[in-house]
Amino acid sequence: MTESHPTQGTEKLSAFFMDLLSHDILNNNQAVLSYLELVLADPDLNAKARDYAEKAISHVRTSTVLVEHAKSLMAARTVDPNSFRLTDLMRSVMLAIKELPGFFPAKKIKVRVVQGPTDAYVLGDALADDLVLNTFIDMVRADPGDEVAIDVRVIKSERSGKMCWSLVISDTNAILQPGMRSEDISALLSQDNSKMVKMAGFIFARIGAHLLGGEFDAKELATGTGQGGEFALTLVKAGKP
Amino acid sequence: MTSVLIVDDEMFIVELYRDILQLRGYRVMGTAFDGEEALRKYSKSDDKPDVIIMDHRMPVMNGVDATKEIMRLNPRQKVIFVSADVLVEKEARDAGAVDFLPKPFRMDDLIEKMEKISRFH
Repeated sequence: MTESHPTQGTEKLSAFFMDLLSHDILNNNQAVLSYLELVLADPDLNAKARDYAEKAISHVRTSTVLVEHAKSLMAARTVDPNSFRLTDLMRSVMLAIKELPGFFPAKKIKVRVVQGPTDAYVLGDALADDLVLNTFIDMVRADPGDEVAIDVRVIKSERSGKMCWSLVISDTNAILQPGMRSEDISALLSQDNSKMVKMAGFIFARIGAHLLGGEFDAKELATGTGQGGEFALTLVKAGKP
Repeated sequence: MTSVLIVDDEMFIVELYRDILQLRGYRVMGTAFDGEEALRKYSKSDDKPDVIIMDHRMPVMNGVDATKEIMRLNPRQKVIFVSADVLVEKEARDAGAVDFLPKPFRMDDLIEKMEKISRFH
């Protein structure tokens, strides 16, 4: 008779609970989003109330993205990396650039694609799209200014003998928290939770990239100054479709 | 006026769709809180809705099964599937849904899909 490990039951229960919880949160987000849209549809709404409602919508969107991240990670944990599909990294980048302003209605965001090859195919799936969007969101969050300028490069790289594509995004005004700078996942997860602020998206990027066989790095643009940030999402290169 | 049947197990979601669709000039001809209730109401009614807005996760009978049964009764019925579970999209389309919206969605997106269906109805 094969005995299952006691943690298997707990993991199954966690996944089940996560599934139910995310479903209910998304339903509630639907209601909040739609009622706010109704408020915004009022032509007599004053500018201040309109501003508040738009900000509230952006927070609903962020909450939805966080739930989707958690769902993606739960799903990716059980998937064989060999079954990941081919993903066009530049398509994911352009999709993220289009969606980005909706998360930050109070900021003016300028994205410059410095290097965007047309053959940047990686192994991934919907999780890769989520990771790319998350990388952009984290960078805008790290910039305290109202006007954000981000440079994007998609470049070839090599990690542990594997050919990869790296999405490198940088912002000269970003400020990285000490915990965001490159260190391994276990070191990150051993930190005191109570001190890990604004880190959920960042940890998602780290774990998600790892699940896809890739990596996520963060560094200051000028070492030791705390000024400027660069995020690099590296995913394993795949052949053309 | 385009008529709609709303199927969702969450009362607040049903009320939300009803409020917004009525404001936008649609006739909400009925609501159901699970697939079986939707199927029962659909099969008994002589006045079929132009569009059914169908959730997936519901007690008694889920949205995919309800859609299959409804399509068996009327293969021309238009069903727009809405769900927080994006993994069910293929199943929903295979069951006969003409469109799929992942929750949460913008109401304008739903209205746009409804209008598209109304134009070809």
